[in-house]
Amino acid sequence: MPRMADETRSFDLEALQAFDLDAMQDGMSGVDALPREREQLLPALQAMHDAVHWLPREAISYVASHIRVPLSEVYATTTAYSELRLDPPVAGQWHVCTGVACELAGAPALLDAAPTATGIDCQFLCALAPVVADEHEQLYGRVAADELRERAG
Amino acid sequence: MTTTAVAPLARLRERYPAAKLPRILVHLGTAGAALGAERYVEELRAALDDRADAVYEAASDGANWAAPSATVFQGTYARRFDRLDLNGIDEVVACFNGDCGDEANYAGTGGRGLTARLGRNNGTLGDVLAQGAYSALDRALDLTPAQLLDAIEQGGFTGRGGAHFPVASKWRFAAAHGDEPRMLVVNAEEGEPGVFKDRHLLEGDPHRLIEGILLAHHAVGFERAYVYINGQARQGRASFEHALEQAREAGILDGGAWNRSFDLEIHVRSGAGGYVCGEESVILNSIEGERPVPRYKPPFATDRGLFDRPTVINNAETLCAVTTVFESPPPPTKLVSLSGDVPRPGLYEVPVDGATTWAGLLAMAGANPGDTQAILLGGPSGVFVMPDQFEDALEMRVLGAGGTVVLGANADLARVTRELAAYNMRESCGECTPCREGTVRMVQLLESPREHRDEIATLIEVMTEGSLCQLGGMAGRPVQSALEQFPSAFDDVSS
Repeated sequence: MPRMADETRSFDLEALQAFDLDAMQDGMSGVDALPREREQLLPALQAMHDAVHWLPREAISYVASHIRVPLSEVYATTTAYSELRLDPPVAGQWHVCTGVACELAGAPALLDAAPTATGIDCQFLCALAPVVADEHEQLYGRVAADELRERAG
Repeated sequence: MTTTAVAPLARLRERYPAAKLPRILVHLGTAGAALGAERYVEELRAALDDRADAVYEAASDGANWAAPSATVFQGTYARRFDRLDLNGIDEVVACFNGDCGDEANYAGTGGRGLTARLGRNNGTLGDVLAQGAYSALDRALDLTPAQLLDAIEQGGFTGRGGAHFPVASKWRFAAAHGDEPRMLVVNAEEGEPGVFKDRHLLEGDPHRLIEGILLAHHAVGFERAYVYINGQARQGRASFEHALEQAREAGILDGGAWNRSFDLEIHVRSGAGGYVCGEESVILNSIEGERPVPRYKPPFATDRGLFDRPTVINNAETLCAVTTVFESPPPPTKLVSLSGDVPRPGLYEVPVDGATTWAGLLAMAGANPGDTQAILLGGPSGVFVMPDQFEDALEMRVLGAGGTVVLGANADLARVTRELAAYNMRESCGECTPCREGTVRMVQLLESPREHRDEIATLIEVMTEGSLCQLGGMAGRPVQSALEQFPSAFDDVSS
């Protein structure tokens, strides 16, 4: 999965349409509500992420100017957190947990059953293995291959 | 009339009564939600008709194997009904109406200790007060900070996050800094694959953590506390914030309920992923808004930590554990997150009493030691516990954060080892060379480990000695453990 937003793509019309402007507005309001202090950097990024579900370049710039931290620093921080996405989530994308317990409980069979699903690291629901997550990060436990094949189409 | 020590607590209990019996608690939480357990709340409410208000949403009691489940609480006993997806709700309704069958006993994993209230309360303050919440704080407030520190020391409490450092010593280091403002950081990041204990504590009994924070505050005196919760543990955060609101409203947070002024700000922060974010100095950087990478030590956090202030960093489980300080003798227990090839995976609170063995733990989970190849203890920083060690007693020092995955007869141990090495490679933050480069090299060498035994041994030594934090420092452990204990598992590819 690419971790850094592609410079050229962020100016391309398609990419700009990939995020919902209302959601962006919500994210900006969330950021505005936070004190303009360095310790609010991660909460500000999370406020944006909660609203937009990923961090377009514009969202990161907005956070940088609100917290008054150089954009390069904000990017360096953003890329260090695995849960902060720099690409829009793919609609209908399923994820199969590939933690050890899920591997033992049949994660490879789930990935075979739903070839479009991708593997993700441990989701901390190991006692309900195998576990899958939908595009909204909702978790499902004790998932059978047929069930996932049906859902992931 | 002089006020007695119990009076403030009695007043609280009077103001916040527990819910009436009989009642039904449906176990939701992250685990219940992942199995669609909400529908049983609706079904039970419909079935109970005019008594629908006796059905409550509750958190998991740790018995994940039983989910989706509901527990009926009658006058003197409680009974849990397991796997509602397979068994339906008829028996639950019958039990609520008085017919609970012959085995009317509670089947949860808890009972006493940290898990005593998990899945047994409906999320109201009254319910947990009735089950003993804030009674340790109430008692501690009669002690001086020095006396409380002594009690913690005598209780033998050590860090439950993995480092096993004596709690009283850490608190004293910070307390020694005179009038300088001090910080408390609660590590509920819980990013180690295979561990899910803090999520259960936050979802099922958040008031216990608040009580632990206030106990630490009474002993040490903090200006601020930051509770740093794993970013994916959204239900845990919501439940903790709800409890904070309840405690604030009841005058518990500011001490008003005891006619005192605690003067402590509590801030809640979420992490945003990354195994390294559970490392304590990374949390400090993360809270300060810096890049989440480890810091060099010294200085130690108790001297200069968060915002350069003397800082105590405690695991969430540690602070929950200290609330048992006045139970005599304090039960030496550890939360073990148990998953893998066992019939009953879930959260277990196991006695670390010198008598409980690995075989005993397997038996609790319904597993046959004879069908078990190994137990992975500690995930990507861990070791493999082999059958010849199953009769060894559990030790706090060895248990780490308590993440255990049981590897049954069909598990591919070499594959598991390689996956752990690959995980460490992905999660290395890149700040120091031994870990950044070493974890990549390790993955390459594990393609044919038996040809590269010397090189792997050297690499592990370099990473252990030279890495900035324990992600790199312990990344070699599972590999070393695997090569020592089951080298032949790697034969298929090394030949």
